[in-house]
Amino acid sequence: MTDFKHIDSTAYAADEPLDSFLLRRSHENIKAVREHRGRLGAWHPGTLNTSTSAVVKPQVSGYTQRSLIPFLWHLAPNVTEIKVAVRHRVTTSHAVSGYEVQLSAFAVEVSHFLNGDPLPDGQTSDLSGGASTSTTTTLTLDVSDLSRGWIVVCVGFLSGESAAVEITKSSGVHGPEVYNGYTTMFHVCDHNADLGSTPTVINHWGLVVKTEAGSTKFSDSVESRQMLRYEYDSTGGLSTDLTYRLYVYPQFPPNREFVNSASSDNQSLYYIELGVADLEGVTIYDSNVNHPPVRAALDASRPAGATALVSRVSEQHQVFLENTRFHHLGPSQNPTETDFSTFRPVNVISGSRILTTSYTDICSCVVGRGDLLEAGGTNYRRMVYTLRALIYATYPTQAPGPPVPFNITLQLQLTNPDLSNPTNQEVPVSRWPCTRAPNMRYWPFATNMSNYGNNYAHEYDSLAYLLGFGPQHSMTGFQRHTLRGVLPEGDMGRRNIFDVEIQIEDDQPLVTRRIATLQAKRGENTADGAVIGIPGQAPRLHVLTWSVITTPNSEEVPASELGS
Amino acid sequence: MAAVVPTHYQYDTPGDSSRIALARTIGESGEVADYVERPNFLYAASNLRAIHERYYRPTLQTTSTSAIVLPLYYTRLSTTRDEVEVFTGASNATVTVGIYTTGGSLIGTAYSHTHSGASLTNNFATYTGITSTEVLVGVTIRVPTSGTAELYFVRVLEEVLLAADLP
Repeated sequence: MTDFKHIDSTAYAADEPLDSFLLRRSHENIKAVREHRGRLGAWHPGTLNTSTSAVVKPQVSGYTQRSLIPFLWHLAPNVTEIKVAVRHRVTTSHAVSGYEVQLSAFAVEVSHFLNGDPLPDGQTSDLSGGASTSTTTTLTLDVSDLSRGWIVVCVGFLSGESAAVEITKSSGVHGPEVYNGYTTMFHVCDHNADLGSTPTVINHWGLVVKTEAGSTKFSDSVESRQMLRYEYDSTGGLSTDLTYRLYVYPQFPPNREFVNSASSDNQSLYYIELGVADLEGVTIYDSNVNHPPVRAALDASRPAGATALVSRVSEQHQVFLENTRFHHLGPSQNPTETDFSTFRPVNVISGSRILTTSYTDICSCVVGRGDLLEAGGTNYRRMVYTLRALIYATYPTQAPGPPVPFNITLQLQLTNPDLSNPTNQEVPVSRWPCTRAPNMRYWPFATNMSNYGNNYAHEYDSLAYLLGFGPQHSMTGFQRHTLRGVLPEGDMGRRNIFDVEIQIEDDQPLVTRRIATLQAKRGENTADGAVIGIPGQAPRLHVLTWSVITTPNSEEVPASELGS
Repeated sequence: MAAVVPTHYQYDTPGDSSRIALARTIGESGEVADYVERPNFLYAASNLRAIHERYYRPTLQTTSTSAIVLPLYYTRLSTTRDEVEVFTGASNATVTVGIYTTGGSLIGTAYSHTHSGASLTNNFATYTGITSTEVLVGVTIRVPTSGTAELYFVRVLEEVLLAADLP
């Protein structure tokens, strides 16, 4: 940074009068700081497979619509442009033409994101497949029209598509013979389908039904869907006609059809391989700041007079308060539950936990040392942190219906790094509407399509279905699939995601490194007094994204500290 | 005068003597000195960045005695800042953090520490000498001898600019 000027004894020779020099140079230095050092937040996902120690990264795809990952960004004043740098590796090479994955990014007001206004295309970049190394793609967003403060920055992924491949008998012929139809939640294939015998398979596929000739779409009631995963089920009680369940998102409409039940079986299930991005990180930073230029100290229309320093000092103070450190950005990897593989972790994005009547940790980050200058240990240090989160609540039930209200208490807790010495800030939320998610029931002894699957799944909110996907009869399973942790663009804007902010002031001035943890608990019964009816059933809180910053604005530096 | 200028505006107290002398020349009181030092403080301490932060929940676990390398994460340092603090929490684990160029060349191993014992301990250290604004952060974890290593958190924090680093 060459714009910064020393304000020292060289001024004697360079500039006179000295007071003008001080005013001008000081302002220019502030301007230089703002314009050359924007804020930055980084989200770095991924973990290790606890069995193999292999690195596990989020794999993201989007079939016919973008899969979005939201980030809450805090826009400082005078910032007109931000950059979104996405680190990725697209190893797949499926697309027939065009991009393997189309990456996009856009920024909108929080209210715009939550209320259902159409989301902008934003900036896009077409990514090629077959990559053997990771790449950083940077997209530039104009934020000059957005309000300062909290905004939503979304990163989107849209997959390129392979040609459709028919699911056939293992001998390679006659797809209609193995495709038995669909329930509201999954397609069904018989035991002869060439899908292998692995119990659960997560392939990023689109699924379509066509005639065996492959050219005609069968019916609008069997629209194309993204597959979440498929299961091979050879348990003894289940008919071999129903061996494979290929779960889809969103659910199918209510008019359930058995496409191959007629005498003329000619419908086949086809899969379309999707381009997949291995996501390694998202970094957001200010890339253009227009700090106001130095103002005239004298006003030509007024009698000559010196401008008091008070306004300038106030301006400098404001710069300090509004340019704060991001401690955390983006979604978290939770929970600690095991999935079907029995090896943690179940998720690679998505912070989500079943609530109990005592506090459950949902997500954590490291805070402290916010904009401090520690020389001598006597200097001013920021002690207030703000957490902002987008949260969705689901409640697994056996029957659809209106949201179930629960009294839920959120708590932001600061602890020492060894998790001792807590400082807590509670936020009780009465009657939080928990959207019903379908209990993923299916009859394990089904003998034919007419008694298989959940006949009411289509009546549930599709985002609740997606986020709550996994709980089986016991309500304990919370399982991985191709859309875990992302938000399909078509499911945004139904005002069912809640925007939560919690602020906490640390009471430990001598502990400079702390852990911030978001916790939550529920009331004993629903807010209407109803008891929880199924063992293991409980509301589940999904923290879709959350950010923690050193708090601006409301925290004033004491006058004694400022030396005023 | 030094007693009037708050300590927190002085990023390098002995080195501030020339600035304070100038302020004394101009100002009748400490007000001008404050005004001079305020931008210095802002310059040194504002817009600090947590260039890498992750609290692993569940913890990152491995039984490997060979270092497991996590992906190289893209991030950026502010202009002219060249020092970071690495802060880790782990048990029975040797954790390293390397700073790389965007081309993947190692600039330097910013941090290496063995968290002994089965309980969570934490440790931090600073590293100076990063000459690139765009960097990649690489984290490795391994078991020192036997058992299971658990990594709770890693943070790489940009440090304030010292007076010596002013352009």
